[in-house]
Amino acid sequence: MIIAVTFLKRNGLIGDKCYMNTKEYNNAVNQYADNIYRFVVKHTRNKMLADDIVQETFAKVWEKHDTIQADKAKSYLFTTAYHCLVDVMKKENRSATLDGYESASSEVDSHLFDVQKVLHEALNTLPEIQKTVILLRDYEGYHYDEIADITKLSESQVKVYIFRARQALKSYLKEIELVA
Amino acid sequence: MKENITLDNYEAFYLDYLEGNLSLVEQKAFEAFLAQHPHLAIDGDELPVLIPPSKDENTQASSIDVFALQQSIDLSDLNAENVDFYLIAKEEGLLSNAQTKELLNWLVAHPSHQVDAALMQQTRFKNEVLIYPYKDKLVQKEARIIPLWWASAAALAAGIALLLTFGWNTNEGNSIQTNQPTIAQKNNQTKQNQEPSQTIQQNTTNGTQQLAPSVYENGTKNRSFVKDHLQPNNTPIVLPSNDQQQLAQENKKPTPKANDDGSLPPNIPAPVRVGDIPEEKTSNHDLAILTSNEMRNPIEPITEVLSNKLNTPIDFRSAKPTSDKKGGFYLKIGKLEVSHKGSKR
Repeated sequence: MIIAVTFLKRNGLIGDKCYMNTKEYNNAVNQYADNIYRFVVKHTRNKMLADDIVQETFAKVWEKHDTIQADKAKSYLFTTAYHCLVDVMKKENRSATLDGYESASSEVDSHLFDVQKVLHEALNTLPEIQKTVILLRDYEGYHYDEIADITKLSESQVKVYIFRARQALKSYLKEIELVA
Repeated sequence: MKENITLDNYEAFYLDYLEGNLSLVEQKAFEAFLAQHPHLAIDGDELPVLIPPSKDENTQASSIDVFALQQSIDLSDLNAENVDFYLIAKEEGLLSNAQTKELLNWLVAHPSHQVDAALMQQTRFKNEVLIYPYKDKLVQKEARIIPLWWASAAALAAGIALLLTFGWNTNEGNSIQTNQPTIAQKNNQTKQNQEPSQTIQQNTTNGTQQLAPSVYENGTKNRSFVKDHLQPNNTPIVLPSNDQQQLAQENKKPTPKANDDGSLPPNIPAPVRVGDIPEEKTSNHDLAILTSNEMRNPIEPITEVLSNKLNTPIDFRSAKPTSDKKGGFYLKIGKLEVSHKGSKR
């Protein structure tokens, strides 16, 4: 009987839920799939590539879901997505402008107003690491230490990159001479 | 190494040192520089500000880095050159209310920089909703979560079923043992019955040797029959009706008659004497093991309900031991299989 109960607990069918069970995994899909997708789309400017990365991210998380604590699902998802993104970028040797970017950018930002559109253009001029920390900071509201965990940087480095990014974005906007 | 490390440019080296971008030579040079300037030693990854932001364009980036690494922000150094740093700090929420007010007062006093403040506010990305259209592909099929008490009840039911199976095996084994005398008992019975059988043979002698039911020939019942139904003085007593019927059935069988010379007919086996009784031998090799197809499920309704609840195939079968085959049980829950071979009858 003890063996049976332990077996059922381990598979998340009953009792304690220290690790993600299937239900919690599905909740994570519903809660964070859009966020992950947005993060990757803003990075790659390519919806098809973003779709692949999102699927790969959740597939990897599902493989290890029984070793992931449910309350840390979001950070684990973003960490995995970030690593997938880095691997893809390295593999395809992409820079700030991507293959197919020009055709995709209008589709991605078509719903934005002028200032935000220009801001997204400015975002694409940033180095990848600055782009990552700014997106995590503004869209997901992560603190410096959380961003550091995801990107495997130190908190100081995250702070420095955010300062540099803001400075660069402001300079870009000033060049375009747009005023709110 | 491109240039020497000095107090004017060490911040850039510091960042590269943290990021692991320095060569081995540069790392050693930087560590040597820190050893020469212990007051610049890194404390918890934070670099204390000792050098004000340089006006040199080449070190503009390092100036903002120095500012970003400050443990605490002091507005006493606020000027037109570094106002951007303080505006970024304001957007990042690093200024206190008093410091924010002081900064706004400075902007009021210097209206030419208000445009910079407005632009810096625009550098924050607004919350934007982007829907991922293929969430249904990511969702996994969910196993129904059952309460703990349900699992306990299921385990208890399985345990009871196992106990019943063991109980069958144990009870039947005991009953078999009580019905079947041990070898010592058989020997004692044989000794006790030997005289009565001879008496029977003597008493029935009237010219023809009518054989009484042999003590050993038909096995257990006859042994008990002789023992139970002969008094110590070997006088036959009246049989109970059941035994009479049984005896009548046995007597329906053609009674073998001796040959004229008194010898036994060839088809009649000779009575076995005490010493000829073979010892009982147990063999585990000549008994066939029951397959799962030959077993049956005594708690089929329970296993069906459990299978449906848990969405997992559950099978339980058991079988009684027979004289030819061993009993046992077979339990399967998903991929977990447990089986047990019982004892023979």
